[in-house]
Amino acid sequence: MSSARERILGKVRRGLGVPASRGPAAAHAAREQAYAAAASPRQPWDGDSVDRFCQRFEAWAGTWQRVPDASAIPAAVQPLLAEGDALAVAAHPLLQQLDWPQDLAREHRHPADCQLAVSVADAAIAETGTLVLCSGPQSPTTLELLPETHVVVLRTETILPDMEAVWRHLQPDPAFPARSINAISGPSRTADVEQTIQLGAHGPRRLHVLLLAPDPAP
Amino acid sequence: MQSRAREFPLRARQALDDQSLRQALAKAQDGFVGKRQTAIDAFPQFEALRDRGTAIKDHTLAYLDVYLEQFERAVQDAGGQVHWAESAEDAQDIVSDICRQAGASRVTKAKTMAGEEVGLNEALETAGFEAVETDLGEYIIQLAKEPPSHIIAPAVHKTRQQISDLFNTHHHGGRLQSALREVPELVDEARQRLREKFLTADVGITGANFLVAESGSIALVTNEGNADLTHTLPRVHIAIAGIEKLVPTLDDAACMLRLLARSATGQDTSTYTTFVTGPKRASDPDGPEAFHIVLLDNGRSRMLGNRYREMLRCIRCGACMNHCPVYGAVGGHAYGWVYPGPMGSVLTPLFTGLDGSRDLPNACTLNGRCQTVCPVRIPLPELLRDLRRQQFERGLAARRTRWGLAAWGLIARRPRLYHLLARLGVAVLGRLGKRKGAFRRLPLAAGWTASRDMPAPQGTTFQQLWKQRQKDAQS
Ligand code: SF4
Repeated sequence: MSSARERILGKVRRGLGVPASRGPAAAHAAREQAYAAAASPRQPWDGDSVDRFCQRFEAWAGTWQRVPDASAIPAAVQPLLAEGDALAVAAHPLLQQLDWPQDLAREHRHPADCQLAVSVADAAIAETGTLVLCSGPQSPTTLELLPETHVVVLRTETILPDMEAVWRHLQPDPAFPARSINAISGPSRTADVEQTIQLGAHGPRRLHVLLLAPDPAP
Repeated sequence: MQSRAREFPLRARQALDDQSLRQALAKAQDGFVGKRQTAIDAFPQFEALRDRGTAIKDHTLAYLDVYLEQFERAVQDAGGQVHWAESAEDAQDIVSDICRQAGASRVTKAKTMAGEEVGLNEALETAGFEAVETDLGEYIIQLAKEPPSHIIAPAVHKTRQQISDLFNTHHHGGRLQSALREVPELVDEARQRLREKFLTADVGITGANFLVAESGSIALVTNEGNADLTHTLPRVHIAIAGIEKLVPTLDDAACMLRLLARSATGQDTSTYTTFVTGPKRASDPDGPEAFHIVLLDNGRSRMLGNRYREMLRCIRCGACMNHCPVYGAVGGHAYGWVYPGPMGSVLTPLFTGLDGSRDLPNACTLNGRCQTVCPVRIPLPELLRDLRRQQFERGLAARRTRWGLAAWGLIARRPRLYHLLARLGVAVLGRLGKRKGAFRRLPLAAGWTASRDMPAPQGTTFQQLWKQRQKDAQS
């Protein structure tokens, strides 16, 4: 019995007029020849990656501030919390060791019941002002989507020029690719009502970055 | 979804009479065209980017069998399941079966054109599931029980007032005291309604903007984040995508995304760009337990063997319709199926048959703007002309068109006769129309004069003028 799979692949090969014996090596060689020897054109910019990131991120209605070191993170988050807000903190080593204003028991609430979440970005893209977060135990995707405010700690050394550089940066991790690699540029938005841009469509209404410079060499 | 492309002339006429539709379309087209242009002006190497995008898709299509198998293996390695659907019915059955086996009752959906193509919503509802669209535009037209009128902005034809009325009727039984007026109120209302659906859905269905062969990932782009809520919260995630959506590598996807965002909305990236690979891992705190991808053929493999293979490069950006004067005048619903505008006029006849959609390839002025803006350089006007030729050869063109063309061919092949008749025509029409300078009505040309006047010819024919000029130049 030929399956739908066999039939579709058969039709594809008949359409292309090729035998079933071609393998990835042939495709790879043809790809190199066709275009892959050079890199994709990208958006040029002046200045360094950190400035470029911040400027683009602002253009997406994201906000940011610098923090001198990790211990300053809770104090930077505090003003963003309103009376009675619940806080969700990702189980990331950088965040877990900190002194949080509320007891971390609140973290056990469902993210849907939290108003503010804090995560750590795995990388960022300077070209487009984009944060990159990989789902996993240290970075639940729901934290990026459900609370009204999302605060993301971004280490400046992980701001890379473009998406291709992000792939190079993440690939050595044995868990790569994570189930969900989320590239986020500003708060959730929609233009579906009369082409008017409105923030807070389904995801966070506010996206705030805490820029963390690398530790000075000991 | 059943094609109603046959009704194009009727629906086009209705659309032309609909003032609010025409206003909405004009506003939307201006917005899309301007934003795209600004984004491209800011990208010096955009032409090189288009070349690369075209090369990526051409290469992928030439090795599609290899990349399909590579993708399948990678998905399976990541713990996902791959399903192959030859037809729309196959896709419906596969998706309904998965939902049934998952014991689902509520299904959330993020905008998928492939899903629209196979009529997924109807199939799910018939099978007894509640299917909720979560893209705001799709949600609005789902309430209105309409198909999308644009592939990027499905509710582009709806005014704020209409949306407010829909929400009042469907959310409040028409009992809302003070109607929702402002955009933020409307978006907030939808946010609250849909949040509850997201949190209680059993299955989430998304499309895929790209399928990445090397990693088995699917790329999803949205501005709202609804696709991410759809694939992260329910127990089961099903993605459905045409087999032409493949690209070889993650780097290739990065390049295609640069093209897509700029061409679609004039952004340099969408707000959310997500790469999903397989289901939840053992240590993951969230994500679905199962991941399914449905690879849809539905006529695509047939296009690989002829010149319509070029159409399979399409990344569904919508730029061609945003720049099309016909789409701008009649909107997406007139086209009668899921894909409107120039790309739809090519795809609908190819997917649903040429007889049922014979007006679509002809609803085109061949001005060529679509080809100029298409990020993957699809020669849309040429493909449309080719479809017209096929129609003519298969005797599908309207009788009047066939006779008219035959008569014209007869004359055009005989230069002397042609000149004689042209001279005669110009002289007679010139004399008849002298007083008013134009004709309100002409026999055999009622279609043309119905909406404009035909200027009366002045003086002589082009051929005569040309001869005269050459004579003057010599003496
Ligand atoms: S045909 Fe070209 S312009 Fe039109 S939707 Fe497809 S990719 Fe975009």
